[in-house]
Amino acid sequence: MKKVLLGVVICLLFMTVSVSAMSESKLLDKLTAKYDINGVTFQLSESDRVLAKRYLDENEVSSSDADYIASKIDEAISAMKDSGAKDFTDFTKLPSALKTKLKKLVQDVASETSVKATVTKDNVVIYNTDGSVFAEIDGLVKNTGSKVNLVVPAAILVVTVGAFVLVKNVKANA
Amino acid sequence: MHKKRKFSKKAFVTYVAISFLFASLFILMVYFGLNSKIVRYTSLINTVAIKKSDKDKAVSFDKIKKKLTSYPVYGTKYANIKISKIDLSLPVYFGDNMEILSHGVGHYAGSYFPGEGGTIIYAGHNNRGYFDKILNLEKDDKIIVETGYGNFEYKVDKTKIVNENDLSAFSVQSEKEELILYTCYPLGVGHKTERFLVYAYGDNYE
Amino acid sequence: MSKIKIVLRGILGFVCSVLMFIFAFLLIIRVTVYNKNYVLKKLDQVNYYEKVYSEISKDMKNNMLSSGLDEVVLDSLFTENDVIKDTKNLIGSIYSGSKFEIDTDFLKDRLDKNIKDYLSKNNIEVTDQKALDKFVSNIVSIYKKEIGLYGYFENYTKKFVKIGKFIDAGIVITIFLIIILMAVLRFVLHRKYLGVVLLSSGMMLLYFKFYIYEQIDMKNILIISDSFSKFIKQLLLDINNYILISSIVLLFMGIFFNVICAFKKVKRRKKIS
Repeated sequence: MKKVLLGVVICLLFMTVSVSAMSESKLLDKLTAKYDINGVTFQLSESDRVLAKRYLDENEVSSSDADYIASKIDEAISAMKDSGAKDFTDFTKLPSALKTKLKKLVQDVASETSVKATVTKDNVVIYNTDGSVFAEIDGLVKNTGSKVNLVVPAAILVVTVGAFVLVKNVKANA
Repeated sequence: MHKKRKFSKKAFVTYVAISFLFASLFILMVYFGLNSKIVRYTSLINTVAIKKSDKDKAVSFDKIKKKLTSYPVYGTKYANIKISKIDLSLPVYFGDNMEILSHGVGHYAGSYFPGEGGTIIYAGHNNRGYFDKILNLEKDDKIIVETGYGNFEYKVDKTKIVNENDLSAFSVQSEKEELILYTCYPLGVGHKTERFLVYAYGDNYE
Repeated sequence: MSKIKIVLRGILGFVCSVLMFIFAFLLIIRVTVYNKNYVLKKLDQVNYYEKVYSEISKDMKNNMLSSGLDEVVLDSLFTENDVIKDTKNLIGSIYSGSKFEIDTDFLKDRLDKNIKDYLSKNNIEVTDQKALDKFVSNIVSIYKKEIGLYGYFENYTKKFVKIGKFIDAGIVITIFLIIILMAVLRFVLHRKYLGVVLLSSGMMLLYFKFYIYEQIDMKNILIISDSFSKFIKQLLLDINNYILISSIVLLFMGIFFNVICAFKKVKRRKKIS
C-alpha cells in the first residue's frame, strides 16, 4: 500500500513539474506564433521573441500564470480580429474600442500575475521576479531624437505582461 | 420628582454592539461586493512596487544547446570587445541605456548573446575613444569578444550608413552568428541623424 | 410601528456610519493630496528639487556624450533655484487648473553661448548647423520634460482637477446628509446614535487601513523617476498615518459619546414625609 501511495505521489509531483514546463513552452509557442488577423500575417519580431524567451528562461512562470497569460493572448487576437483593423503598428491609431479592450487585457495580466514592470520617464523597465532588472525597453536605436522607432506596444506589452497585443507586420496574405 | 442620570451599562453595551454590527455589515458588503475590484487595483499598483535587488550572477553557457543558461544582470559588464586594427579594447555591458553607454559599449537586450548563433547588437558613442574608430573598419577585419564563458571571433563583412529611424538595418535573426556594431554618424558636433553600422560574422568558439 | 422604527433606525444609522467613513476618507485626501501647501511641504521634505536637479544634470550629461562636445558646455545652464521655481509654478498651475509653460529660453540662450565659446576656443568648425540646433533643442527639452514629469503632469491635470471638485462636493454632501440623518435619528426616531456612528466609522476606517491599504507595497513603489517615487512613497505613508490617527480619534470619540448617551434619566419619587 505504501509503495502504491509513494508511486502515486511521485507521479503527481512529476505531473506537476511537467504541467508547469508544458505551460511555459505553450506560452512561448503562443507568443512566437504567426497569426492571421484580417488577412494580414503577424508575428513578433525576432528581437521581441528574444526578449520573451529570455524572460521565460529567467523567471519561473507558474502554470496558472502561464495559462492565464495564454488565455489573454487568445482574447487579444480575437479582439484584434473583431475590430477589422489591419494595421497595428501604431497603437494610438487603433479603434478606441480595441484600445480599451487591449488595455484591459494588459491590466488583467498585470494584476493577476507576478510580472513586475514600471514606467520610468520615457521607457518601461521590466523586472525579474527576484527584483533585478530584466530589461529597459525604450526603442532599439539609441540616442534618436524621435520616438518613431519606439515600438511601445509590441516590446513593452509582450514582455511586460506576456500579452500578445501588437506585432509588426510581417507579410500580407496573397 | 428628582431627575438624576445614571450610567446604564446595558445601554452602553448595546450602543457598542450596534457599532460593531454596522462595521461588520460594511466589511461584509465590501468583501463580497468589491473584493475583486480591490484586489485588482491593489495588484495593479503593486505591479510598480519593486523590491530591487542587485545580486550578481555568474553567466553560464550550454555549449551543446548553444544557449546561455544564466544571463548577466542588466547593467553589468559581461565581456570585453577588442579590435586590434583600430587599437580598441572596451568593456561590454548588458543593456544599452544612456547611463550604460557613458561607461562603454552597450548590448541591446533584444538581441542574442555571443555564441547563441543569432544577431548581437552593440552600441557605442562616437567619441572618447569608444566607437569613433569603427568608421575605419574594413572587410575581413577581426573583432574579438571575450566573455566569461568563452572568446568569440568575428570578421567584418560590410559597413553601412543608415538613417536613425531605419530599423530594418538592425534586424535580429537567429540563423547565423552576426555581430552588429553601431554608432552615431557623422562625427562632428551636434545631434546625429544617421548611424554607422559594422556587420561582422563568425561562429568560432574557444 | 415600533418594528418599522427599529428597522429604520438600523438603516439610517448604518447609512450615517458609512457616510461618516466616506467623509473622513475624503477629508484626509483633501488635506493631503489636494492641499497645495501640504504637497509643497512634502516635496521639500523628500529633497525632491535636489533630486530632480541631479537627474536633469545627469541626463543632459549622458545625452551630450554623442554630440562631439565637451561637458563644459553644460556649465551653469541652470540652478537648483530654477528647478524649484519652475516646479512650484507648475504645481500651482495644476491646483488652479491653469496652464503653465515652462520657459526654457534662458536655458537655450546659455547653452548657445557656452557652445559658441567652446567652439571658438577649440577652433572647431560647425559643418551642420541644423544638427547643432537639434542637439540644443534636445538638451533644453530634457529640462522641460524632467520638470513636467515627461508629460504626466500635463496629461493628468484635467483629471486631477475634476476629481478634486468631486472630493469637495463629496465632503459637503456627506456632511449635509450626516446632519440630516442624525437629526432624523434624534428627533424623529428618538435615538442618539452619534456615538454609534463615530465608533462604527472608526472601525470601518481601521478595516480600510489594515485590509486594503496595507495590501499596497508602499515602500517599494517605483514610477517615472526616483525623485517622484520617493515623493509618492512619502505621500502614501502619510495618508496611511492620517487614516490610523483618524480612526483612533473616531473610535475614542465614539466611545466617549456612547458613554454620554448611555447616561439614562432616572426618575426618583420624592420621599413622603
